[in-house]
Amino acid sequence: MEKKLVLTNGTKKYKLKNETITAMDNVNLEIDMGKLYVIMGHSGSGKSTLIQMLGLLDSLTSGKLYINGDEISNISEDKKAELRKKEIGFVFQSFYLNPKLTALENVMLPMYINEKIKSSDRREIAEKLLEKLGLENRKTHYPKELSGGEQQRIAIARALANNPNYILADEPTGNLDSENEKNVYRILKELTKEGKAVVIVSHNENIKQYADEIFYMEAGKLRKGL
Amino acid sequence: MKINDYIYLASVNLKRRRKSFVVNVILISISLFILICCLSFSNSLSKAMNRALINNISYRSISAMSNKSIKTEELVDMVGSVEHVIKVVPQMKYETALEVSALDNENFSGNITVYGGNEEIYPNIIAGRSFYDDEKNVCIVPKEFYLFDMNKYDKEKSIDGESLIGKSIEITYYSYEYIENSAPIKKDKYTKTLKVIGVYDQDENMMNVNECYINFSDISDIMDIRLEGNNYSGIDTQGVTAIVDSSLNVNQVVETLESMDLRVIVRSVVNEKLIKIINLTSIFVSSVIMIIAFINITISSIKSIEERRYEIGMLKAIGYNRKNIIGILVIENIIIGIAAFIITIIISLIAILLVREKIFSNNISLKSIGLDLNLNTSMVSLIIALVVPVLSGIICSGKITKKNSITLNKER
Ligand SMILES: Nc1ncnc2c1ncn2[C@@H]1O[C@H](COP(=O)(O)OP(=O)(O)OP(=O)(O)O)[C@@H](O)[C@H]1O
Ligand SMILES: [Mg+2]
Repeated sequence: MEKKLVLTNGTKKYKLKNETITAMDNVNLEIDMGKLYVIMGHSGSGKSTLIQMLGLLDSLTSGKLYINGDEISNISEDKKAELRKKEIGFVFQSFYLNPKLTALENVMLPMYINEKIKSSDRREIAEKLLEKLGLENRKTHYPKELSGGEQQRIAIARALANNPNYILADEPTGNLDSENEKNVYRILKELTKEGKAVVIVSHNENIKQYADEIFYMEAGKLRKGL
Repeated sequence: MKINDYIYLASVNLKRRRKSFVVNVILISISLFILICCLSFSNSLSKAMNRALINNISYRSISAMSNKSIKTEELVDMVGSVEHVIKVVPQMKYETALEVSALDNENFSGNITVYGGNEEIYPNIIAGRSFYDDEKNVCIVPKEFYLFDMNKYDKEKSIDGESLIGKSIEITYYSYEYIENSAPIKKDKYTKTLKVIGVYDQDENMMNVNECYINFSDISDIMDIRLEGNNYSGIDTQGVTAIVDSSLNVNQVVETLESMDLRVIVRSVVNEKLIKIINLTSIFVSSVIMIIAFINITISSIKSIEERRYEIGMLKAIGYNRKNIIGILVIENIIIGIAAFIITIIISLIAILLVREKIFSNNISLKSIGLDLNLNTSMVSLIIALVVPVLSGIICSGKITKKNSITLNKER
């Protein structure tokens, strides 16, 4: 079965006390391997909502999501966790690191639940990932001892820990300066060359030059860009 | 995920959050400590009270006499066959007054009353020990011992019973020549040396300050000598004293004996209501303390997990399932519980020993409470220290892990 992530007629409504917000409205999207997708749009347009649905962090109100051909819109929480572990690496704008763990430990964290990685290999894999992201000298540092850019690279290393096919990043450079921003984009672009699919949400115009495909989100609707 | 990975992650988490780990352990330890101390104290106290009331010899002795003239030996057999009666002795051989001729090897002139006892029938010993079934020439004295001195009646001069342990009391008695219709004449003089081996609380047992316990067979020996040749005073038709196994069975025994056409006198009646009140009070106090400890530990366990919402959301996002996350948090709570339990047991043991040895030991009545850290109390606290954090951990983290990581991230 061909590896791809497909969303059809994806709709997400948030029910509040006396109103219902349609954050994502009938979105169709296909994510193929080896490509970098950029989703742009104004604040509140539903970009985060969309990428969270792709990352199985929340469930659709209606519509269907397929991963590698399997429909997964209605699977159990445990199966979703299993897919998040194996197939998806999610990168948050706020890094979402464990402040009590060192860089290396943060990167090793996803490997404890991966039966395919031997416990004796975890450290080596994590070290290699940190090296790859230029953090070999920051292994024993805690997040608070690191710059925003370094923290984001650790978050990316962690997202790669279990070697997933899909890397999803929600404004990964939102908290970074332009130097670090470029660095992160280059790293993410590099991953597509290894055959991974990368989806980046951003409202930063600089990302466009790295994109294979660009989409625009407007009031919950997705439109293909140039 | 393997169990050693769970334990590793849990221990790393605790190590890196040393402050909140220590605070949690201390909070749980305090609750457990109060629980253990209260349970131990109320347990020991109500046991001591029960012992004092239910096992009290005074509440368990009955005198029985026959309306017909049957031989004492027959009466002993009759009464002895009744259920719950553990010892029957002829009245004559149950209790007698004796002269004291020497105390701790010094001449003395006093008077004591002795009661018969054996391994299972003696008052609650508060110092020293009780005697074995066939141990002769030993005696158990009251804690506030007063040997009535025939010559100088001086009530102030009581002796600390405990100070006599290991020392000797020499008693004197006589054989007699019995002549019909006239007072018996003293014949030969006998002495017997009793070694003091134990002390009982005369107030608790409603006895007098000069009443001691010696072996039934010692009284029997003395009385055999005293009564030898007495064929005139109806010795054969004396009443008997029966000892019942528990004061709670006295009523039943009395009914049976009365149905056998015997006259029964009960020395004193135990107040069963009082026993019930003591037990209920102890259960009530223990329950209240247990509930408070339960609530305290639940709150601190829940708090320690609530603090981790952000981390729980992160773990979910990277693919940990609910079982993984709950497992890690529960193991953390188990480690906290075990640490708190061990610390509490050690501190409680020390505290209880200190109280017992330094405060209670100075007062023989407090000492008789026998304050102890008993197994039940420890088990209860172990269960509370483990089950409560584990259950509240499972329930609380179960709830949190149902939320999605985005919500948990935003809640920070
Ligand atoms: N948990 C929620 N409950 C209710 N409404 C929500 C929730 N999350 C998002 N929304 C609403 O859904 C809409 C889309 O939100 P979303 O976070 O996807 O926007 P966004 O495009 O990522 O914006 P930004 O660029 O500011 O991050 C917004 O109007 C927001 O108020
Ligand atoms: Mg957003």
